[in-house]
Amino acid sequence: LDPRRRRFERLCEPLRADLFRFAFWLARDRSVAEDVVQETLLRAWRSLEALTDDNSVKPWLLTIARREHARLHERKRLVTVDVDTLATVEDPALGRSDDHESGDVHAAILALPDEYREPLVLQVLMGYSTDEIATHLGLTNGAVLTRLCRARQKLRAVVLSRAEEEM
Amino acid sequence: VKCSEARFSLAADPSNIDAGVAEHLDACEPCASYARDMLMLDGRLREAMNVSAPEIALPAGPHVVASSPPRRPVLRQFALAASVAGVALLVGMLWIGVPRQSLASAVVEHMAHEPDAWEQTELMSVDSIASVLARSGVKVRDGMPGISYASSCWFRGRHVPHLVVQTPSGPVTVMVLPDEQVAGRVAFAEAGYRGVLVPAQRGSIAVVVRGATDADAVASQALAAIAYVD
Repeated sequence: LDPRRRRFERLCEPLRADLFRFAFWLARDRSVAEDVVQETLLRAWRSLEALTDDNSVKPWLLTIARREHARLHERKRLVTVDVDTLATVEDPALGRSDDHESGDVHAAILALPDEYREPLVLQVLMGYSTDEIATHLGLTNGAVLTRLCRARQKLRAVVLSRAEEEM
Repeated sequence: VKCSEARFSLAADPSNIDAGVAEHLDACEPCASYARDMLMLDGRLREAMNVSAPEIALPAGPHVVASSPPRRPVLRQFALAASVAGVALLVGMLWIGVPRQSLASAVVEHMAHEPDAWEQTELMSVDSIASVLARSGVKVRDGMPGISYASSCWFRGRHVPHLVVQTPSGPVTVMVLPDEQVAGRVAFAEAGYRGVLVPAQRGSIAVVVRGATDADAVASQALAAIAYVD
């Protein structure tokens, strides 16, 4: 392998699963997420020289993925799907469809508005700090904190109501 | 730290609490219980978000780019050029036939996706505004007070400034759209909002209001205040 290819594989291969998960929570659709990841990796390969600091590969890839998702959305005008239908269709993505509790949380995350879901995924799944989320989303730190707070309040309400139903 | 402040902080970032919140939790059992709930919730979120990922192959890009491709015979080059021109013409004709969402609808739709923006009433500092807008190649001169929200948003293929300005009659959204040309002032009403699109030094500026707020007055103010950075 030539050094460029080696560098690309070393940097991008370990992040493929995370990239897919991020794309999945953006798109809420596995096949769209796969398209986004393919496009992201292709663009990353073409513009590898633009990545000057190897330690920044994760935010670099996630930024490309976010842009690709927006581009795909704009191009295809993706059809809006009812969240309940989505939760049913995406059930295999849970990998644990018999786990009702986890399924509820999964569906509740899917039902969050985009502007709440994306910062939450960046924080919980990608380990971003609120400052990093603000930079990634082009928001102020205050706006990020507000969105994260509202996202968790909504999810907590779902979890609590589920617990009350079971009692 | 009050209970409401502690809970805001805990819900925003439960794994990263500051000394003030920690001190409050030591003295307030209901908030301490809330903190435990939030940490437990995060564990469940992490588990639910960790969806299974398929094997996606890395792109098999070209390993070596030829520095000087072999020359093709002239006739073949001509045929290739003719084919490319034909395809371009066909694509162009199809593109013209594709209905594109109107600029006004796109602005209102974008705004509706950021409901928080109108809820923030605390004014931003000049430095914070400058820092956010610099990402979109724009700055705000003096003369546009009352900005409570500034964001660099992905809109129709590029990052553009999205501002919310507090006026005596309520919040107003201003979007600076350097790539969107309009021939003249366009007034619109969409989904319960009213607004105007006005030509700017680069592209246009969109102003969206609710109720009786004067969109044109805000548009004039924005036109005078927005400067484009090269």
